Amino acid sequence: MPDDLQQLSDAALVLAIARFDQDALAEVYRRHAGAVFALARRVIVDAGTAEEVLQEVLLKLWSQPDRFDPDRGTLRSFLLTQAHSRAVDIARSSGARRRREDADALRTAEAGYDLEREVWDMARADHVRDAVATLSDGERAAIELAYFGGYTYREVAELLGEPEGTVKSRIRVGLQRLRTALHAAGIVGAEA
Amino acid sequence: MARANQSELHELVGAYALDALDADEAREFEAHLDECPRCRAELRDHRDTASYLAHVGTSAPDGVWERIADQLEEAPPDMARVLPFARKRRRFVAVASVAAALLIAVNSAALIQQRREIRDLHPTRAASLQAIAERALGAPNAQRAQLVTPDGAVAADAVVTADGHGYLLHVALRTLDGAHAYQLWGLAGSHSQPVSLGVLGGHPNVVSFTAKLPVEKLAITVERAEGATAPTTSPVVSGPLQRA
Repeated sequence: MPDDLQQLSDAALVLAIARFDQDALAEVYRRHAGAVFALARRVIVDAGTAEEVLQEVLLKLWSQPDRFDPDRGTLRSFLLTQAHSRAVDIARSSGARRRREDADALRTAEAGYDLEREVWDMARADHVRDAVATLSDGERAAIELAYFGGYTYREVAELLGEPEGTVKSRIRVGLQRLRTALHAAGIVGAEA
Repeated sequence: MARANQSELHELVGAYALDALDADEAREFEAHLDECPRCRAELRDHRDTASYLAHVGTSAPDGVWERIADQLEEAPPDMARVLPFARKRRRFVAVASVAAALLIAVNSAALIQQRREIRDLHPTRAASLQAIAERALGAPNAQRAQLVTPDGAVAADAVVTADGHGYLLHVALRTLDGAHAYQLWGLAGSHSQPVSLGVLGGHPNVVSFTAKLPVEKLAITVERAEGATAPTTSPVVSGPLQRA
């Protein structure tokens, strides 16, 4: 049975989870837990807390599989969105972390290598790196501080000494630019 | 609250996708999102794009899956509703005669499993099932059927995908009393025995089933609530599966 599960689409796995098939949840874990954990740890830093986020996200899929709608995006995006939101909540509620690490985050963002380093599977890494390279420095820093640093765009503006409106639009334009580049490389868009 | 005009709100979609709005602004944007299909589509794209920035180069630390699996056994929230039922059943079997227990085991093991799977699809799960079933209807190489009554009225649509996942949807059958249930059968060729594809309960709406063997025709009969190993009544609806 686990062999069969490996052939199933993510959507079919979620349907099996709706029937309380634990092997299907295990297969979802096998496919996506690495990314969910890595993102949570990137935002929260503490590995133990990131493990808890991973557990929470998987258990939520188990108890409420109907919240995933295949028409509204991929399962990977669904799980990462939830993990990110939870991780950001945790990071923001611990003010101590914020003060301690603002300086580090800013240095990292200005050094300009981090998005590249985070990129995942090797076959696609070059394409994603190329896409990131199409961003202006300002766009890259804004996206990085918001997505990996867990900062609001207002906080990002303060860190970078830029107007809030500028940062807000750089995030949006930067994400659009990334998508265009990923689409041109044949990585995204086929499923949408 | 009424601060932002529409174009200012559109502008928030990127930051919202990265959870980079403060709580008040996020609420304001979510209200806008309900009314703005363009922002919903853009939000989906931005979240998908961001998901490519998170890597899967590492796997999750050892032991996390085991902790998750432990909790599945202890407290799956929806299973809790099903379990009291199952325990009652088991106790009943324990006091029944050996012969009766054997009979149940031999005739109904597969049926009980099927029934449990279908009963577990409670209404809140039906919404996503509906979406998946609708999608299967359009899948390439899927076989479709219209199930019609003997006098020709369409009472359900069915689809079986190339990999054997089947769905019934748009089911319009009258609700049965508690002692009876609809049961789905698959037939392969005119001489073969009907194979049970599941007991559907007294008021099926959307149903998923698995067709492990090739099936040429689907039929639904009314049976006693626990299901039957072979049809005991003539079909209320039936129809041939056909490739589009």
